[in-house]
Amino acid sequence: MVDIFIPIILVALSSIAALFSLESKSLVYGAISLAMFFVGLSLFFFYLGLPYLAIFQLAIYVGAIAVLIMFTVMVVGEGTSREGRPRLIVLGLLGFVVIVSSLYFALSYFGSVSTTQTQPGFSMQLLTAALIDHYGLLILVLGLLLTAAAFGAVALARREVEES
Amino acid sequence: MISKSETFVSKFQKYGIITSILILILILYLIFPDIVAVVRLLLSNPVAVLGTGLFKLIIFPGLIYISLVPLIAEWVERKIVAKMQVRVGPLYVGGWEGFLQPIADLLKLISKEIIIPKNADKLIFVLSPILVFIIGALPSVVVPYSPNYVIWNYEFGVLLFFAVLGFYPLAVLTAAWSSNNKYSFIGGLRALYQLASYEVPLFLATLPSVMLANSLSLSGIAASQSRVWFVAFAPISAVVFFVAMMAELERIPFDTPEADSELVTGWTTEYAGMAWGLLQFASYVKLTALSGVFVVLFLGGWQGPAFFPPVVWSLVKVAAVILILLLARGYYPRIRIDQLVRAGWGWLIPLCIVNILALVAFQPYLAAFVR
Repeated sequence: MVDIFIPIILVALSSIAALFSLESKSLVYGAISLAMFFVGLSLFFFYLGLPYLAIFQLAIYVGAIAVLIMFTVMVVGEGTSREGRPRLIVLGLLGFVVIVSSLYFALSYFGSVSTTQTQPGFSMQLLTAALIDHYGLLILVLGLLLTAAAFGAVALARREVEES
Repeated sequence: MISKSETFVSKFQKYGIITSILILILILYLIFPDIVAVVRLLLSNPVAVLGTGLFKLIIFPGLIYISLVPLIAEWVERKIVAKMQVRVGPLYVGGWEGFLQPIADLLKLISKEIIIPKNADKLIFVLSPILVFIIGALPSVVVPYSPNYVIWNYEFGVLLFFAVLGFYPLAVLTAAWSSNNKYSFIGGLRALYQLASYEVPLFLATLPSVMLANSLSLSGIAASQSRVWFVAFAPISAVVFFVAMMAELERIPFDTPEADSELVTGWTTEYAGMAWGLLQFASYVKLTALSGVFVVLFLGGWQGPAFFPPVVWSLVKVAAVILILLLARGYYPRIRIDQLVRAGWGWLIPLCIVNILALVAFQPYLAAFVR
């Protein structure tokens, strides 16, 4: 019975944090609850027996991305506070109830997620070898694409000096 | 500007203590359902309790140990820095050389009022020191002091240690922002720049140890140094790790976030009483955790000649590393921000990469020395 409730509590907490990060009037509170959402997600990965994924979720999304978002919000300033959107909150809460109840029924129907059989024959070396051997060119192309996107973003975000 | 809402503080202090004790008991019961059996064992056979998980969590590598080290370290630091500057330092409390001064300071801080500024974001302002302390203390969970004395002997301990350490800037930034003070905010931004940029050399400097030991568990890395300590194969990385560790701890040569001649005390400016005490405590707890991990990664962990038990070797090495970290406070002036950035990106990261490349080239010859 405990096995069913742990994922449901985790999903409930992270959904509430996600909803709050979208709907909160203060941008800083939104950024903090986004970080909480990422922590909840990584705890969920821990529960599913995927420690690598969970730790990288923590290190990259909480340690880097949430911090950068927070930093941006603080440097740019609060600006005008956003308006509350009560109808969307109701919709979000409805969706949240649907997700949690479907998860509950799925888990109670199929039994709890087994955490004993983790990582069948999984090794980082094999994964790296597979990536480099078969998809090396693709990874290079993706890397170039991301770099180009970063340059594009810099070019788009650049402000003209004359305007100010 | 003193807050009008004193009721908020007094309510928080009154109910906060009760709820935190209740939550602590609940967590203890959830983690250790056999707590009753442990208490019974304590009454019948006290020596056998030393190996139980509850003992590790609460007493030795856990709560009491990481609370005692800051008290001792603070006294040693004040005394040594005073001697270096031809002062006497703490002298009266406790009789001998004022060795009870940290406890007197602790009692003073606990009895002081926590002043909340009028325009501060009260909820985040109160919660931030707690968050900073939790994040500072959490990495200690995976640091081994002997094959037995480790709270959680986790398979991916290195990754977890640095992943949790990565939250620290977030808590610092919330503390700085919620204070609603320009000195706090500037200090917080400086802390964020410094912590985020020095994490890169810190991560890179752990790579040689992981590569040599072929393991991501801190116990595994310590166990594979029984012949040669890894500082012999990765001396550059050890130095880089030490410097980056100093920057992560915001200690004296790298104390631009706290710069007391420019920014009052940086991001901790608005905190008073035990909230400030908690922030200071967190920085010393983090110092203990990072020194422990430095010993495990480069100085052989618990390995040493057999006339002392492994735990003693660990503690001696950790104490030596902490002492060197504290001594730096008496030697160096604060470095400028541009020097700090250039040292991090221009020197430490390339040096790390040089060490990693050298290790890759010589790895076939080193296999005989590992384990």
